[in-house]
Amino acid sequence: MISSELLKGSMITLVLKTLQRKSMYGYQIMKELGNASGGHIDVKEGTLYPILHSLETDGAVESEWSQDHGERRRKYYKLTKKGRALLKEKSGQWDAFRKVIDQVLAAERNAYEV
Amino acid sequence: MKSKKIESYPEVKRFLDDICRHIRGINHKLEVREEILSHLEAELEGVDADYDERLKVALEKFGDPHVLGRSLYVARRTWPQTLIKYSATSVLMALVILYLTSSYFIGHYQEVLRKANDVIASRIPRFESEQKEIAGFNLLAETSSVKSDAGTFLNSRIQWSGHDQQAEIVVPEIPSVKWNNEWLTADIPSVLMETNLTWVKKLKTFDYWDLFESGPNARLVGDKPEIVSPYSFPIPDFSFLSRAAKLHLRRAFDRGDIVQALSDIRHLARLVYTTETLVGSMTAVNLLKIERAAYEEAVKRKIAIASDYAPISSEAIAKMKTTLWVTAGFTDHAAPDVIARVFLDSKSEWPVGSCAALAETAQAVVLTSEFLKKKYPFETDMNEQESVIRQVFEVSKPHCRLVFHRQLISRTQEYADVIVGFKDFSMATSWWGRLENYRYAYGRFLPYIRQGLGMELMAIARPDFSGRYDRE
Repeated sequence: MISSELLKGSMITLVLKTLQRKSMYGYQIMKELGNASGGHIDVKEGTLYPILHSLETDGAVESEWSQDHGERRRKYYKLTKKGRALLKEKSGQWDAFRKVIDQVLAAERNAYEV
Repeated sequence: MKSKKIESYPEVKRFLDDICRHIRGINHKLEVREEILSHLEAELEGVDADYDERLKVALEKFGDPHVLGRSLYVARRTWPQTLIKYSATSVLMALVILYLTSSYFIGHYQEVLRKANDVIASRIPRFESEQKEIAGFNLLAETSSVKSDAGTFLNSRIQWSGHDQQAEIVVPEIPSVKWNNEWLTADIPSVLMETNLTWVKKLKTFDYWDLFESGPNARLVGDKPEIVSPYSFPIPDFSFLSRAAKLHLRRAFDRGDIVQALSDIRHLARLVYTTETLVGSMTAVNLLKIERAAYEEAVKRKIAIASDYAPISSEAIAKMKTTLWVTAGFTDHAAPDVIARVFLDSKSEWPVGSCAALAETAQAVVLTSEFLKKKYPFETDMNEQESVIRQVFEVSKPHCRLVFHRQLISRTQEYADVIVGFKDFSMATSWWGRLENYRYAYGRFLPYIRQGLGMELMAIARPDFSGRYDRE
């Protein structure tokens, strides 16, 4: 399981990425993230919903209530144009971050090997 | 085992209540409840055994409901939106309150002024008839055509209130005979009888007395005048004239030239009347009363009075006193209908006492102009009040000098700025009275309410002058 500290700065990116494929409701997003990460990512409800609501307030996602016959209404979140742009930006930032971290870790390894 | 709807579970209900306690707006609260309930149902879908236990675990996964509630509230809140919403609401409410308050104030005082206006208008016929009667006296002839200013001689020699000047002309009080005509017969100490009064004769060479062309007030007029509060510029201590008149007449009785002295005092009265001040007008009336008392004493002593001397009756003097005083009631910009009728529509002579009355009005205009100028949306345009008085000042040019007071009317803003503190406006000694100063000083900055205060200022002095007709 990946530590929540490491996940903290990347949760928005992960949620946006999960919604890129299709509209989902909160519980579904959690399950999808768990499956996509091979069970390594366990998002807490207390973290997920504030993020979803913030993204909705910022216009990165939009929501729609949907109800199947006899079931309770569910709030589906959908990525907006602004959300897609944000995802692209966040993904770029993550790539840059990962490269820098990899570079630093590789340098450390080389130093030990010498 | 699930036995009821999920929202019926007390722990769920409590959990949702704790979250929603931090959320604003009923719609947001309902949405959050619905979303969390749907999440819990999805999480527990198909669970049958250990349902209560699984529900407890599912709730625990959400963490502290208070923390979640605050996070959801913050997530929904956008600062600019909140700020705009609350600012706009506050400004709107403040405007509505100010407007309503102002409407009350203005409506209230407009009603007071309207009634006062009607009362004063009802007195116009009497005013006009008395004016006709009094205009016959040579004493109160117009002042603009005369050239020789007594101020060039007197202003630097007399005592002024509000100005520290060593007076050259000093007339002591006659002991014990201040309020009646005992001065005609009382024993007067020889030291008083020897008081230097040569200046009384000297004044015969002058035609009018201006308080601004020379002396301590000269700095207040001209191209670069010193801007002072129009409520505190120096005024002569006119009482020396009444004391001098009594001594002058007593000496005349002793010398045997009373008719000449009576004429001197008549001239003194005329000069002080031409100062274009209300206090000067009242001093003139007092001098005429002194002259009348001396004339009656002369008749009593069977002293021959020359035929070219025309005494003024006590009744006429009393009428003059009233008219000079009430004229101020007909020049007040608080009653534009009245002032227009008396000064602009009238075909009759220029009203006696108007110059002093207009001087009072100019001061009142400075006091109220700042309050009555339309500055904010929805405020009433009160320019009519001032435009009428400006017209009257124009038509007064052939009749009154009013050098300083014309300046007040044309530069109200500058003078209003001087008295904005109103430090000398209220003479009250009580803390409540002194508080009035602050009410007006800072009231002018309050939109809408300031016009109500302006109306109040106009209403305060409004009926006082012409009210003398009722009090007689």
